[in-house]
Amino acid sequence: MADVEFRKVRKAWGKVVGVADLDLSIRAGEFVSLLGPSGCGKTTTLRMLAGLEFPTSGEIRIGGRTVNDLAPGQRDIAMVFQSYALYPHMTVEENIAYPLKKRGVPRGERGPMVARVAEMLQLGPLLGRKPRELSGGQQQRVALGRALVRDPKVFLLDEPLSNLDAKLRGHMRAELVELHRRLGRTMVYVTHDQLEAMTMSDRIAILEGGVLQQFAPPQEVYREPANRFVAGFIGTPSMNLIDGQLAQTGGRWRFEAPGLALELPALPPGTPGGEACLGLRPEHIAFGSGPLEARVALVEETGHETIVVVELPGGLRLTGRTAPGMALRPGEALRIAPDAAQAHLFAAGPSGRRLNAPAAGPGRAAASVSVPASAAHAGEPS
Amino acid sequence: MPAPRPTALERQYARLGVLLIAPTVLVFCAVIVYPLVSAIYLSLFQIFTPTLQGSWVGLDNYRALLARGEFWTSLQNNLIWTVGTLTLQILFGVAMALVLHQNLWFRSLARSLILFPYFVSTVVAVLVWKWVFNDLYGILNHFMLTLGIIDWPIDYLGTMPNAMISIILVGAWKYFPFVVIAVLARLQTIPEALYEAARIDGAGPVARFFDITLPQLREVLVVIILLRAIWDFKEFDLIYLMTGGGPVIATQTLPLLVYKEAFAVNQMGMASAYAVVMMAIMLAFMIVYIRRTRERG
Ligand SMILES: Nc1ncnc2c1ncn2[C@@H]1O[C@H](COP(=O)(O)OP(=O)(O)OP(=O)(O)O)[C@@H](O)[C@H]1O
Ligand SMILES: [Mg+2]
Repeated sequence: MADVEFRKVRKAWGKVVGVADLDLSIRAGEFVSLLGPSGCGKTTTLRMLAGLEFPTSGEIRIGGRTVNDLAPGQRDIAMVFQSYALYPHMTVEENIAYPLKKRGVPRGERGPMVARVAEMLQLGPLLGRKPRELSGGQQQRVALGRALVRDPKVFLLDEPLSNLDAKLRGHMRAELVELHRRLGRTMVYVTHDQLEAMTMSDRIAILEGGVLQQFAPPQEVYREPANRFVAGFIGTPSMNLIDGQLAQTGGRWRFEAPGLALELPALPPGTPGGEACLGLRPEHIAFGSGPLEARVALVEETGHETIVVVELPGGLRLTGRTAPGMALRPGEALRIAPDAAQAHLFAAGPSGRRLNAPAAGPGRAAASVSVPASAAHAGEPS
Repeated sequence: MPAPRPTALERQYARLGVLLIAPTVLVFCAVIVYPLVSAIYLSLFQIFTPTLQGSWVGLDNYRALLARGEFWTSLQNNLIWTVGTLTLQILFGVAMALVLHQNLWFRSLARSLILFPYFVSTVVAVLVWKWVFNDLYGILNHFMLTLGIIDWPIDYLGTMPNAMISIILVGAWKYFPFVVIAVLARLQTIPEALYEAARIDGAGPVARFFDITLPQLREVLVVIILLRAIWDFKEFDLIYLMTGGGPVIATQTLPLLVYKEAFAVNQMGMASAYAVVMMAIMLAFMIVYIRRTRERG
């Protein structure tokens, strides 16, 4: 059953298009991330769902009910703002109790409800403080508490972790996933951080320029990017995207670019030849031996792996990753072996659609995404 | 533990500091401390203003002043005027600021127009209002008569309580733009997200005003009220020009009384005593003001 539904939703301010004809259907209890670069329309989408922004056209439904004409307070949603938006003159306790008070929950019932949330988020000792007396992480928890206290149908979160330091962010990520698992509520989570989206979501909606590019589970988005934009956007370091020519000779597909020629596995019938774009994840290039000649251009040691940029004779640059300890020096010549079975193929152009089927089996991709297995699975609806 | 001896550099900085604040301190002494001290000094004499000849009377002026009905009447008038005009200034001011904070197409024009009364010199404003209120030729009476609201012209400035009401209204008209500007400046700094959060939490427009706007305005309102209370308390020109303190002394406030003592009755010593008492009352306001601001800091 769809819990949240966007039907041909469009938002434009004059000539500026924030969101273009969005169709999105979110299942009850799902954790969905809206992911994309700055200005792609994530916040606009979330704010339309919250009722803080009105769609230019289209329909938004929550729990099967059209909410276009409902005020934010009537939509049975709760939202955590990027700036937290805590009421500065109220104590933590009053902040958390405020939505209850405004919905006419009797004073006597509010206490236990606030206490339950405070317990869940470990806010007990902070209840008497004002927001300005709290650290960023504590404020974030209070904002979360104010959203949780009411048990709404849908939770909306707009980059709630972006003001926290890296360590706390990692911690809160795990807490949010755990919270989602416990509450089993629908959550719509806006972020521009793909690690957050990959580790927390059941499904990720990737937006670019107000247009939905792909809506799929994290592993699928990684292994089977729907188009060239998603391919380049997901994954660090990003996928190598090589423009070249695709040709079929004697039933075999060949991709050619300056300094690079690859035999490809069979492509679906009807695939057009000519200009195309080949995508290769850094982990799908082996170093040391192979058919291609290259020269090391750049080496980056990150500690747990080494990022290597090599240059092919034609001037093409490829990024790869290897285990640390492989002594590579810039300028050094070496042989490389791209794994053609794992290659992605896209139509030409900046957002060319995918042409080939994904490689069979999890391959090396699953192992190399930095997704803690526990966190990824905890995100599935229970 | 004895404080460590200041180093040569620290002493040099200290000397530079003294040098830099010296001009300010000198000017402060010349224009504030000297008149203040001489007012207190003069209040201990009986002085004939034109000659400035006087004789020492000690605290007699103060004794006489506290025994005089005119002092208490003036103090009472002063309080009625201050509370009345200040209340109206705050109510008009906040209401107008809220209106101007909305996205109206004429907002920028309205914002400049609203400042008009504050910029007009008091003399000009009073002349205009005196014409409006004039009992024989005034436009107000003219309209009210034509519309049939009244049968006889009303004497707005020559009878009570009309005179007091008139000056309170003109005072509110003249000074409410100050409140508008200060409140508007604060309104613009309230994060929009607070209102959005409140809307999601189920607060309607009225609840949003009382739960978010008003608490956010509290601090600036305290400062405005204290500052305006001090300024309104010592208001002279507006009242003097409107009614001259009349009818009889019905709108005479303490500043008008000081002026009358000094330059009409020619008793500079007595006038100084009034001024000193007035200062003491304002000092009370000041102390509250300083307390409030320090608490916040
Ligand atoms: N009030 C507005 N008036 C005009 N254009 C707007 C308005 N709000 C947003 N936009 C435009 O709509 C587009 C999407 O904005 P949105 O805030 O949704 O981006 P975002 O994906 O949240 O970006 P970020 O990651 O930077 O927060 C942007 O191009 C932005 O300039
Ligand atoms: Mg945003």
